Amino acid sequence: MRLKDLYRTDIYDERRGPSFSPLILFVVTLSYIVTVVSFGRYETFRLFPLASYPIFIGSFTRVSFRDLFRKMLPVLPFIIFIGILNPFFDTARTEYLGIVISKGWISFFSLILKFMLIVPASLIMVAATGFDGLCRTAASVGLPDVLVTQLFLLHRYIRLLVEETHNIVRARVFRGGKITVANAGNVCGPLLLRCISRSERIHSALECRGFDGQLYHSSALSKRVPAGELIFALCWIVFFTVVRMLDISRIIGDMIVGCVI
Amino acid sequence: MCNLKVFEIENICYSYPDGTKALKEISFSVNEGEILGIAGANGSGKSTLLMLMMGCLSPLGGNIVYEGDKLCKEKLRGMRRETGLLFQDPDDQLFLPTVWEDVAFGPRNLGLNEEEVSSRVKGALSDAGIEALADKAPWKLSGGEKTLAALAGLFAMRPKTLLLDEPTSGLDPKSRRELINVIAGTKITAVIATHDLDMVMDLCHRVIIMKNGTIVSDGEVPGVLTNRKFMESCGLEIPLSLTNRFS
Repeated sequence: MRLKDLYRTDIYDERRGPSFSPLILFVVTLSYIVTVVSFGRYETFRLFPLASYPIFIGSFTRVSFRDLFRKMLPVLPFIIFIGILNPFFDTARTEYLGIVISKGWISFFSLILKFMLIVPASLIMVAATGFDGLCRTAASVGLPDVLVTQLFLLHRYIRLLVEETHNIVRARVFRGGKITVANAGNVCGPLLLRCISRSERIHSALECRGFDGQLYHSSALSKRVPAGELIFALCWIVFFTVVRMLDISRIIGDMIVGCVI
Repeated sequence: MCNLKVFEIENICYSYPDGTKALKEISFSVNEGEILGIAGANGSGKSTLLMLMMGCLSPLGGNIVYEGDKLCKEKLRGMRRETGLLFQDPDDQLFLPTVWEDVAFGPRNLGLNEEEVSSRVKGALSDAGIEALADKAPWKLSGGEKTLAALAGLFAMRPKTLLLDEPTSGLDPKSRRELINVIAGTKITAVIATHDLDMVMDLCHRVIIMKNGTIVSDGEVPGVLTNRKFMESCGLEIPLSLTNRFS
């Protein structure tokens, strides 16, 4: 991944309309993840109907699928690395759609598919609510202030670290310098000092505006959820339950086969 | 302007941890309703002085008196409720995901209810002329917009005093003029550390000139800024608006 891509954290930072209550989106996404994970490693086809959720919610919240793909791409090799040994160890054969295939390959594809479903759903949740929205949700459901504030500050300081790294790398590269293992210390040392210095200034600025360690005050946290969003959440949770209980893919397949015959 | 002293700085000294002496026995006062300019070459101690006044740094000697009380840890919170500091780099100040949230940060820390917070934010954005930027991410704004957003964050706290560190640095002429108009429109006590002597001419009632951590002049704006030799000895020039008149 290029530094430029790492720097593009903005998909998490700006909320897009139409906005969802972060709490609702969090609950639905959590239910979705639990549903996806609950499927066995050989139940690959049963996962397909669940693809409708990230597609729907991504389109509805206008999150760029291209950006999502760019975010997922760097992690994909690790998932492949985890799953690629399955075909070698799980060599039992089974028939799938008339093709004889080892169960290892099925579990491998199942793993990739689960990754392709869970990661975009999570990224969409963060992108649609904003990281701030998530922290607000965490605070409103009763997570300790200290933890929520730390989470938010961590997110803010990651941006700061990326910005400072970007500046240092650019300053060196523009003057013909290269960053190698040998001179990495010369880059990391100043980077650390610059980050500390800037963090101190940011902290001073926060203190000057009355910051006392609590970022989300109870007066600013709304626990009311609009009825429409509640219905939205219920519909999706019912859908996930139906997909979990019934083999939708098989039912649709049987219906098509029945019609053809 | 009245003679009630908001800040009294008494023999303040400050050295940085590396031993650099930033301020050497500085004394002056800021009257209520006054706009005080602090000018000086780079490294003369202007920003350090503002940081000390706001309690971000602790003086190594001397006292800072705010509204008659010596500034100590217990008084700091009260002073910060009534005083706003605009940092030199607005990126240090803009912290939250949207301009609206950032402007609301101060009022929420004051413990106000959401209706009052909302009303203050709207007022502050309107005063700073940036209502249209309310939903934007602060880091996507231009330099001038960032400064105005940071200033709106201070306005929302309804401060009695503003401490502004290089507010016009890096701004184009239009943004600079907008900012000057915004500050002029506030009618509150302000201390402005700047190199922009034309802004000092436009806004300030009094000016302090600093050199190597000491005050070398404290007086009425025209009297101080028109002395070319003195200004050049302090690493400054007379304001551009006076150049033709005095050349």
